[in-house]
Amino acid sequence: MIRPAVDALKARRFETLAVTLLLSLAAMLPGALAISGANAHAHASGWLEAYQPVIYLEPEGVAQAQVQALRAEVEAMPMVRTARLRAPDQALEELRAKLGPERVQQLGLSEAMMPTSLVLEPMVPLHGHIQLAARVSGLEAREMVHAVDVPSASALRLMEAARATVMLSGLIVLLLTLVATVLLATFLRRLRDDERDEIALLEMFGASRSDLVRPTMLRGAALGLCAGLLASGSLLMGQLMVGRWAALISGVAASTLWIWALVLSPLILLPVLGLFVGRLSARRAMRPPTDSSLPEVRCALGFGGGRLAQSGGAA
Amino acid sequence: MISCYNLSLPHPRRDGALFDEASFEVEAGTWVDVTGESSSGKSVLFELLSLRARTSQGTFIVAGRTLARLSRRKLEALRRRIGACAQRPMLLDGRTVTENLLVPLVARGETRSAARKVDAMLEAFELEAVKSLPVHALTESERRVVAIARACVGEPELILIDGGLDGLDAAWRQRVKQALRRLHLDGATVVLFSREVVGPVSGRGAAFRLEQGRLETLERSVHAPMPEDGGLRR
Repeated sequence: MIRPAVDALKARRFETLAVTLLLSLAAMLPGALAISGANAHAHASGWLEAYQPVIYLEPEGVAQAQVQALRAEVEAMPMVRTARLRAPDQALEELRAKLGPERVQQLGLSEAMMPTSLVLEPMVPLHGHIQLAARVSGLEAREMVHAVDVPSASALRLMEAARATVMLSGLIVLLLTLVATVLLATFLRRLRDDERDEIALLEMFGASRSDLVRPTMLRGAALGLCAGLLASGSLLMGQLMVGRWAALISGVAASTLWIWALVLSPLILLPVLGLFVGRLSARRAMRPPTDSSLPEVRCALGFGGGRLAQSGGAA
Repeated sequence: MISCYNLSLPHPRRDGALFDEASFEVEAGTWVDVTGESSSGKSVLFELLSLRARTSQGTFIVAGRTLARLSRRKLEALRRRIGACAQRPMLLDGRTVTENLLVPLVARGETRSAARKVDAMLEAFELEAVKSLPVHALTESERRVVAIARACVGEPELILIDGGLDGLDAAWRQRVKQALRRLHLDGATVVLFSREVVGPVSGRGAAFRLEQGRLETLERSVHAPMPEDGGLRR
C-alpha cells in the first residue's frame, strides 16, 4: 500500500477502538474464568498437598503389638509410601515447630496430652491424598483408633468445581474465538474494501500477491497485539489482586506457572489470530490467480467491458 | 519487444472481425503509433499488451515471454516492466499527485528510490506545482498527464498509452510529448494508441493503422538524433 498499513486503522479509529475492545473482551472473559478456576484449583491442591492423613490412636489400652500390626496394615495399602509412628513427645515437638513454643505454652499443652499417632505419606501427591483419605477414614470404627484426620469435603469439592470451571472456560474460549475471528475478518475486509481501487492499481502495475496481502495481515496482527495487551494487562492486574486475597484466605500462596501462561496467552494468541485472519480475509477478498482470471477478451472486454476496463481500462 | 501473430477476434458489436489474422512486431526501443478510427480495436490491443486481458486467439510475445503460458508470478514480474495508461485511467482521487505517482514504484517494491524517481517524473512532466494537490482538484488535462506520468515513472521498458495525447490542451500536449520523447531516447519502447501519429523525433519509429481488422504498417523509420529543442513537431 502507498501509505503505512496502520493508517487505515487510524482512518477508522472509532471502529478500530471498538473492535480492539471487543477482541480484548473476548479474550478476557474466558481468561478471567480460567484464571479463577486455576487459582481455586491451585489453592485447593496446595492445601491438600500440605495435608498428610493422620491416624490418632486411643491414649490408653493399646498394646505395642496392635500398633505395629495397624502400621503394617496401613503400609500395605497400595497408595501409602510410609506410615510413620509418631510418639507423644514427637507430636509435641512438631506442634511447637508449627505454632511456636510460646503459643503451645499458652495453650497449656503437654506431652501427656498428645496421643500416639500414625502419619501417612501417600505414594502419589494430591490424588494419592484424596484416595487415601477415603480409605483410612473407615479406620475410625476400630476400637484402638481415636480419630482419623481427613481433608475437609469442601476442599475436595472446590477442586472438582475448579476443574469444571477450567473446562467450561475452554469451551467459552472456543466459542468466543469464533466470534472474534468473524468480527476481525469483517473489519479487516471493510478496510480492504476502502482500498479496493488502490489494490486494483497496484495489481495492474505488478504488485505480487504477498505484497497485497501483507498490509491486511499487519493490521490483523496490530489489532490482535493491542487487544492482547489490553486483555493480558487486565488479567495480570486481576491475578495479582485475586492471588493476594486468596493467599490471605487459604493461607497458601499458589502461583503456578500455568496461571501465568493463562495471563499472558492473549498477548501471544491474539496477534497470531490477527495474522491468520488477516491472511485469510485478504486472500479470500482477492480474485483467483491472475493468469487464469485475466478476462478473456472476446467475451469480457468488448469496448470498455471487463473489470479492469470499467475501473480504468479501455474505452 | 512485442510480437503478435495471427490475432483473430470477432467484433463484439457488429458482424465481422475486430482482428483478422493480425500480426506485427515491435523492436525494443521503438516509438510506435497505433492509429485507427473509433471502435477499430485500439483499446483491445492496449488491454492485451498491458496484460489486463488475454486471448487464446493468437500468439502474443512481450519482452520474450509468451503471454498464454505465463504463470501468475511471471505475469506479475512482466507487469512490473510495463507502464500503462488507459484511455479512462483510474486515479486515486483522494490522494495527492505524488501518491498517485508512487503506485508503480510501490508495486515494484522500489521504496528507497521512490521519492527521487517521483520527483524526476514530476519535473519531466512539469507537475511540481500540483504535486501536493489531491487528484480530484485537478483539471481534466492535468489528470490525464498525471496518469501518463504514472505510467512512465520508474523507467519501465514498455510504455503503453491508450488514447495517446488526446484530450490534452496544447500546452500539456507539448510537455507530455517532450517527456515521452526523452524516455524513448533513454531506451523505452513507447506505444501510443490514438487517432493521430505523434511519432518520434529521433531513434527508431513505427506506425501502424488498424483498419477492418488488420494492422497495416504505415511507416518504419530510424530518425536522426534529437535536436536541442527537444524535437517537438509543431
